[in-house]
Amino acid sequence: MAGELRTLALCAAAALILGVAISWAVSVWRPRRGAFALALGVLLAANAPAVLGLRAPALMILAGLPLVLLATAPRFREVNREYAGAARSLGASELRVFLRLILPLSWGPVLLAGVLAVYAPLVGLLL
Amino acid sequence: MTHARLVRKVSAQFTLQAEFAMPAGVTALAGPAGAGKSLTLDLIAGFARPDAGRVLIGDAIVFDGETRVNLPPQRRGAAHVAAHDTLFPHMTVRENLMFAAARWARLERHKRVAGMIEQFELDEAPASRTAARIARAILSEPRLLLIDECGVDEPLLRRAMTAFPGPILLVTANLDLCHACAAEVVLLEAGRILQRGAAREVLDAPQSPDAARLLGFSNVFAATIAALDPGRDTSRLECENFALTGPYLPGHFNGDRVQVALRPADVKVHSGEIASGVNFLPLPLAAVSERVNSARLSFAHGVTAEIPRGEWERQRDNKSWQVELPPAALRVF
Repeated sequence: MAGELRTLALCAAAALILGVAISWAVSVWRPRRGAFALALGVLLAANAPAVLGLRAPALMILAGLPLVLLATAPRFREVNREYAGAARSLGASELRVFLRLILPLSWGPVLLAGVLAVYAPLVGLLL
Repeated sequence: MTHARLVRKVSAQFTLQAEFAMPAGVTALAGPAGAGKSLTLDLIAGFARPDAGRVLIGDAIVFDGETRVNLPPQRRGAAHVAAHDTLFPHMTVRENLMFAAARWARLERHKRVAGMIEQFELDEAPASRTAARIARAILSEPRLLLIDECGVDEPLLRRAMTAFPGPILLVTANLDLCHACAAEVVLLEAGRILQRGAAREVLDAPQSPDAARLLGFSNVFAATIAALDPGRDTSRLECENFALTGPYLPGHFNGDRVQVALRPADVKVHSGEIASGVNFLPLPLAAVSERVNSARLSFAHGVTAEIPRGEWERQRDNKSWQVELPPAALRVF
């Protein structure tokens, strides 16, 4: 069980980091809303086997990933729309915009995403 | 040189198409809501991509539709002050300024920020947030300053002009501010430039009925030139319901269809009992709107006059009215 929990923690961390990175990319490059929704739908469908108890690490990451996206993408998009334009026109690089602006203004959703990234594979583990 | 030629199709009904230069000093982008003013700013700042055209900022090409140059906002050197409050909410005003001054070493950064806070008299009060955003934009040493309609008043704009000697593109609906501070005015409506040029020339001499209406010349009449007298420097203009004496119109002929416009504030009103003079029209009063400083009188045939409150108090009991449209105040085009 301990080994499984360690795998789960690592997978949750990976899902969180990957998900936040994708959310960031989505908020910056703004794909069509439909495309993002479709990708999210596919990811959500794909995470069913992971939630249902298959324990491969890849599936565990996949279980948390769409939930991380759901939790963070809207907030990232909002911060990007409201404040990031001003920061960019002041010369701030995309990385600086993310680290100094988007992330500090999104701690709530990121925290929630972290919880979900653990929770989703944990459900599978306990089933 | 700072210059923008922009084409951007937004919808089947609305295409922005504008070309104008931005010399040092304030260029005012005026026009009604939905004219494409903010979009113009976004296209120049690099937040949105024009379909075609070319944007030069301080001699550098930052966008060119043909050669597919499209620099990101970071590398354009155009600081954007949006219409809404974009001070980063998790930072103090000072930290916001520090963010913009990041490129300098610590000591220099503190010195510049302190200087700017002093110059713009900034504090953490909500009232100085617009000033703080302008100060933040100037701190990043841009080559062009873009200011959207954000509650800039004249003292603040003057401070900005002192602190930033380069070109400023200002979106505003405030004609008084344009007249007081702007060197150039670009008049935009429905994505097209109606008129542009030196601020006072544009504001004082509209060249089309649409421009006249936007610039507050709410009296616009279609007229036919009935007579031209270069000797006395006058002309005779037949409008639909009355005839007017106007200034001599070089380059026009008898029988030309023209438009006559004048500001409500230039229209004088008199009691019907006094002797009439040049361009006195006896007209019935249709409606009155009493404002803080003036009264706006609507007469028959669409003649509007705006007179000071005191004048209105003196004349409000007139039994009949005549309006005077002074020939010197008529704008004919």
